[in-house]
Formats: sequence, structure tokens, C-alpha cells
Amino acid sequence: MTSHIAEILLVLDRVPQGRRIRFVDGIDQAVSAWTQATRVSPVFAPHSSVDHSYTLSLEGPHHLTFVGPYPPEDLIALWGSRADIWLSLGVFNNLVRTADDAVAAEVVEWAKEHGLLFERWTTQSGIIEHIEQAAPRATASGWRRVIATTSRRRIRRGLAPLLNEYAALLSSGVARAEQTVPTMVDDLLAADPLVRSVIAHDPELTVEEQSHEIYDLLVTLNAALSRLTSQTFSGASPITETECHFWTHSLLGTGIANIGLWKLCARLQFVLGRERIPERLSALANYEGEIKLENLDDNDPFWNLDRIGEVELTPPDTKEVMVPLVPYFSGRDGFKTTLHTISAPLVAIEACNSKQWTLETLTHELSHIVIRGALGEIYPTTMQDIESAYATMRVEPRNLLESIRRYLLMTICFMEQDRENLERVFDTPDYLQQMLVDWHAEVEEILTHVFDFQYFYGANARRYVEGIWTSWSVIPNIGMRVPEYVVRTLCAVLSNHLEYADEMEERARKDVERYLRRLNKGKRAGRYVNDALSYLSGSKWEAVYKQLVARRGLVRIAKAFLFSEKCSARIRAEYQVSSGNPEHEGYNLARGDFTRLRIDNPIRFVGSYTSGTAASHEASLWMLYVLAFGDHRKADRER
Amino acid sequence: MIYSGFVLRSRGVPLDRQTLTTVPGLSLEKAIAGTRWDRYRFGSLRPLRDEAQLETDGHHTYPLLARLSSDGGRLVVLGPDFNIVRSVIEGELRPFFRPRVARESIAVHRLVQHIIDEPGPFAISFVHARTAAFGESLKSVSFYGNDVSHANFFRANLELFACFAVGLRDSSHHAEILRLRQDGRISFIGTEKLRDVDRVLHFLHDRGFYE
Repeated sequence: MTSHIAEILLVLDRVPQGRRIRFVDGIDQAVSAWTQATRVSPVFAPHSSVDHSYTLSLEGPHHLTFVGPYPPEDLIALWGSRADIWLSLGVFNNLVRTADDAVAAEVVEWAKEHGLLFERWTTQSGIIEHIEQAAPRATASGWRRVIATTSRRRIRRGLAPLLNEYAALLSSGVARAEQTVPTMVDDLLAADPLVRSVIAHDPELTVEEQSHEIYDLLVTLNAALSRLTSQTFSGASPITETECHFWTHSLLGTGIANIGLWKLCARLQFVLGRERIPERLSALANYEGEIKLENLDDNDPFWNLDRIGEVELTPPDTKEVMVPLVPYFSGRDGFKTTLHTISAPLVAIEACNSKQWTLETLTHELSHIVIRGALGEIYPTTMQDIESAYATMRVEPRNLLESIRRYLLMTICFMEQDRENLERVFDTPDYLQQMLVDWHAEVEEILTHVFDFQYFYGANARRYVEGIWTSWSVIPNIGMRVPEYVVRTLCAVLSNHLEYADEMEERARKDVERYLRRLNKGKRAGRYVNDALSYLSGSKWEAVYKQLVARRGLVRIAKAFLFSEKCSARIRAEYQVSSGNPEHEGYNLARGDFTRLRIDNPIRFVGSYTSGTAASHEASLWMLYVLAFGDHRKADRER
Repeated sequence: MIYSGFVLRSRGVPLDRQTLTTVPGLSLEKAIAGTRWDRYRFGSLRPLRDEAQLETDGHHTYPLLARLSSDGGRLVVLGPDFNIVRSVIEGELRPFFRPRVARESIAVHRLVQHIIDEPGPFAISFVHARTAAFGESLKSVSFYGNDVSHANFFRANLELFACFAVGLRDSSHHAEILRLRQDGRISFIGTEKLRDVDRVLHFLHDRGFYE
């Protein structure tokens, strides 16, 4: 089925006769008659899913019925031949336009029967004469008491405004989610135990340290909650009163994009969290015996054992506080994670079908969270850890976890020696401490790249190299960082060649060079790629080669002790496939077809359907619909 | 003859045989005794199987098998070729079918897991699966045998696979009854085992393997 989704703007104005709604064919037409009350949103006609042509005229009497959030399949099937079905990015994602009173009444009755939110606007030549809304949903009251209790906690005077803002923001978010996206309520409320735990007195912190911690949490959380709630619930009922400040979506908002992002992040967080990789790593302390990893051959079978996959974990503590991760779109933050928030660029709403703005980049951000947890097990940070690490270097490791810690330290020493051109390092605990501080970010990045490459890109070097360099191509002012990006890319690909002893770096270089050249040929990546290619030959390559050799140990640690075939099978599992064909990884979804949106694994879907560099609002809309509604089992429907 | 087609579910209003007989181009030939299956013929003005346009009057007729569940909530439609059925459902008779039915999904992986956990009336004759464990090195696998789920290797490694197609046979004899896919496709050979097919369809319904 071919994709053909026509985009039109729906414009709400105020005119002397009252509120006027109309369809226009482009933003220029809307701007030419813009007033202080004008609001617009793009709407799309899913032509590949319907049989007739649409009309843009609203002359005479009409009914515009907004229904959502709900997958459009049923509406297209039931009324697609008798009315115009438009799709939007707002929480009211279905718009049924008809001049037939009976059809409009059927739609409203159907929405009521299914417990869906709706608004029916009865219009005369575009002037809204009457608005009928769904009755408000019943709400729970318990959360109000909980948030109120949090807001009454004693806190330093200067921080009180932040806590007040938090309480008001969370209350608004939950109250609106209850009406519009009830399945989001628990995730929003997960923020509250965290806030309470951080503002509770911590005897191990000074007053100043704790203030900083509270300030950092509340500022970050408030910013994320503010964006999430304003983006998701603008355009909810009453539509005419809930303006969205993403101005090209000011009428209906971007709720579907936010629901899609939220489900994608929640799923990623769930599957990664379920594997408990840091705990698996920690459990390697149970593999007793003296193993000096630095003495093993490159192709020693030990490296290929799925050690963390074999770990038998005790059941998780169900009382453990759920860690919130608030997702939102941001023009300024782009792709970014903090401990409790994650953002994607605003432009992804209209361009996530393309490799530059693909939401697949989020896997890198979430991989960071796992790697930070893993580094907590093996990377010394406190002075006590460092003194212990200093001792570790001088005694035989007693178990596999100690061996990994020792091997990591030795690798960091190699990296330091390479960078500083030293004969040897590591003379004192103080030196070691400074070295560990200096290298922490780089170690985390290398491990994250390998982790992301192995788990989420399926160790597909072509897809990875083309993907990350295309996404970097749209970030301004990173030219200075190209050399480090080259090293990180090479490290990720090196993880595919670790058994090739002295050839491994050259094999990684050839892979990366091949795929960067391919990218360059298609003129998809811009000047950074040209620059990157220059580091893969001549004297620049010699320097990069040395860095790569020094980082071998990190790549080995990531591949042998953070990657597991068994964990990967679960993290990347997708059951909604119906063939073994390589195209689209066996999915049988057709781009632009809104009648079958079923998926189980959003990140596999995003990886399989992101293609090319041509950003398309329509193709992005379809992908966001699949993300928002893909798991449209009854229990997951937003009602 | 190999019959292939889809399992469909009603969008709300139960379906009945009488409604099906009113569909233009679809004519009921006979009910197959002792089963819930009916034979239909579908007449089309265009070829649906890429065959040459040989008929002088421009008519092409195709045999179809259909089975309505007792509550009218599910319909299975099969023909001599999967594409014929797809053309009928999603093309020629789309105005009739689309508002009334949607493609059903079958939880194939869960079905396989169930047969391993609780061996019962059916055994597995083949499985197609994708695997996400080994990256680009290995992406799909197939297993064939008289009782695939009985093989320790398969059971021990099932967590590495996502099964999307399965063949089922009766536990007490080797002949395969039917094949199922995650996207609701179903196929079997001949009409001799329709009662066995019915048993499988009941099993899928009763154990909640329709998604």
C-alpha cells in the first residue's frame, strides 16, 4: 500500500460573527489573516486508508467531531466511506467532518459507548454555533492528599517556591491526565516519592549539599513536567480554551507525539530496568577464582561466555521506589537525559522519520543510565574506593568482579599513558584519584557507545555508523569534537572484531571508513563526515589507532560483561512480526496505513522504519501514531 | 488443495451466514456436514491470482471456505491462494468487510510457550522465529520435526526466539493440521481435517491466543 497523506491546516479564528473554523492549504494562507486569537494545527487525510476525495469547504451546515486519543482504525472502517476522517497530532487525534446529521450522531453515540472523549462542533459556514462535549470522567482524590502532604514538608525558605511550583505542576498534570490519558497518571505520580525522599533530612549530607540536591532535582523536574503537561494536554477539552505554545500546533497540541515519546521511553526504561544489568555485573563477585583478564588471549573462549546472562537474580524488591523518567520535547535541550528526565528535539515531531531526527537516538541516552549504574559497581569514585582500588592493583583478584575492576583500572592507565605520553602511571592514590576523575566521562561514553551498538543496533555497523553520523550532522558547532566522535564510533564497531588480535583495529577502521564513505556519497552527512574520514588515514589515523588500542579493554568489558545474548533477546524481542524477511525486520506494517498499527517493541519499530534523510511530517505522523497506539490492546487504550 | 486465508474478528455487530450470502459476488454453495464450515464461490470481473485473463466472459470464479464462530464474533475466510482472499477482503468486497471485520492477531509465541509448559492435544510440527540475541550474525531460525517442543534444545533456548509462525499436529498422530502466523494468517491442506481445524480454532479461542 502506498503512503499518501495530505496535510492541511485547521484554523480557528475569531470573527465578528463568533468563532470560525476553516481548512486552509498552507501556513501562508493562515498567516495572511492572522489575528490575536488565531490558532492552527495540521491535520492529515489518510488517503491510502479511505476511498474518496476530501472537501475543504465548510460552507453551509457541518459537524466537526473530535475524538481521541484513540487509534483511527475503527473510525476509518466505520465512517471512512461516509465522512472525511482527518488525523491530527493532538490528543483529539481523529476529526470526523460531515454534513450529515445522522453520521455525526452515530459518531457521538459510538464515542459515548466506548467511553471516549469527544467534542462535536456544529457549524454554519464555518461559524461554530454549538459545542457538545463528553462528560468529565470520574477522578480519584487520593493523589491530591499525597501531593499536598509533600508540599507541606519543611524546606529551606529559598527552595519553597520551587516546591510550590512542583506541587502545582504535578497536580495539573495528574488532573489533566486523569481526564485525557489516564494510563499516564501512575507514571506522573512516581515523581512524588522521589521528591519526598530527596527533601527528607539526610544526615550524611551537609545542609548546603542537600540544598543543592533539592534545587537540582526540583528545577530539572519542574522544567520537564511543565513541558510534558503543556505539550500533551493542550488541545484537550475544551479545545477552544487550551492553547498550545508550540505555535504551529496551537489549536490541537501535540498530545499524540508526547504519548508516543512517553510510551517509547517507558518501554525502554522497563526492558532495560528488568534486565538489572548492574546487579548482574555485581553478581560476578560470585565467580570466585583468580582470573587475570589482562593475560587472556584475544580469542580466549572466556571472552565469549555469556557471564551476566547466566546470573540468576533474586526476585526484585517490589517495594522499591519506581524511578520516574519524565519525557518531553524541547527545542533547546534536544536529545538529553538527566537522572529523572529525558528530552527529544521538538523538530522530531515533524521529522522523526529521518535519520537526522530519529527517536532511535534515545537509546543512547537511556544506555547512559544503565552504564552509570554499572560504573557504580566497577568505577572507584569515593576516596575509600580509590584506596581499595590502589590496593587491588597490587594483589591477586579473588573473583571475577575484582578482575573486571582491576582490568578497568589498567585500561584507564593505558589511556592515561597514551594521552600523556608516559612510561608508567599510578604511583600514588592521589594521582589515581585525579586520573579517575579525568577519565570518568570518556569511559562512560565508550561503554555507552558499545552498549548501545550491541543491544539496540544489533551490532549492525552500517546502520550504526550511518545513523549516529547522520544525527550528528544536524548539530551545530561540534566540529571540534569530531576526533573524539571518531574514536567512540571505532570503539563501538571494534566490539565486532575483538577476536582478531592485531587486526581488530584495522577491521574496525575499514568498516567505519566504508560506511562513512557511503554516507558521504549520498550527501547525507555534511562536513563532519569529511572531517571524520580524514582521521582514518595517514598520520591522523596513527594517533587514533593508538587511542583505540588503549581503549581495547573498555570495549572488552562492555562486550563481555555488560552485553548478554540472553538479555539482548529479551530487550529487543518483538512478537508482532510475521515473517523472517530482512525488510523492516519482519514487520508487516505499511507506511501510511493507519488501519494496522500493532507493535510490541517500539524501539525495534523505530529502527526498522527510520529511513533516508528526507524529513516528512506525514511519515513522522504515522510513526508517532504507531508509537502511541501500537500496543492498542484494550487495557492500553487511553480511555 | 492448500487453503490459505485470515482469521477476522467482528468490529462489534456479530456476523451471520445470512448477511454473508447477501454480499455481491459471494454465493453459498453448501454447508460442510459436521463442521461450522461453508463452501462459497466468489465471482470477480478481474483475475485475483495474477493468472492470465482466459475466461471469455471476463468472469473469474474462486472457491472459498468460510467459518463463522457460534457467537458471530469471528470469521475465518480461506481460498486456494492467500492473495485471493486478501483481494476479496481488502479489495473487491472492502465496502462490505471493512466496517464489519478486522484482521485478528494470533499470539504465536505465547502458544508455543503454552504447548511447552502444558503439553496437551497438539504438538508442534514446525516453528519460524526471529532472534534478537545475536545481532546481524543470526536473525531468523526454523525448526522442523514431529514434536519440536519436546526437544530439549528448543525448550532450553526458547527465550532467545520470538516465534511468529507455527505448525500444529495432533499429539497422537503425525499429520499436520494447520499452520498459523502472528498476523492472523492460517493455512491447511484439503478439507479432510476440518474437524481437527475446528478443534485448533476452539483451542485458540478458549485459551486466549487471539490478541
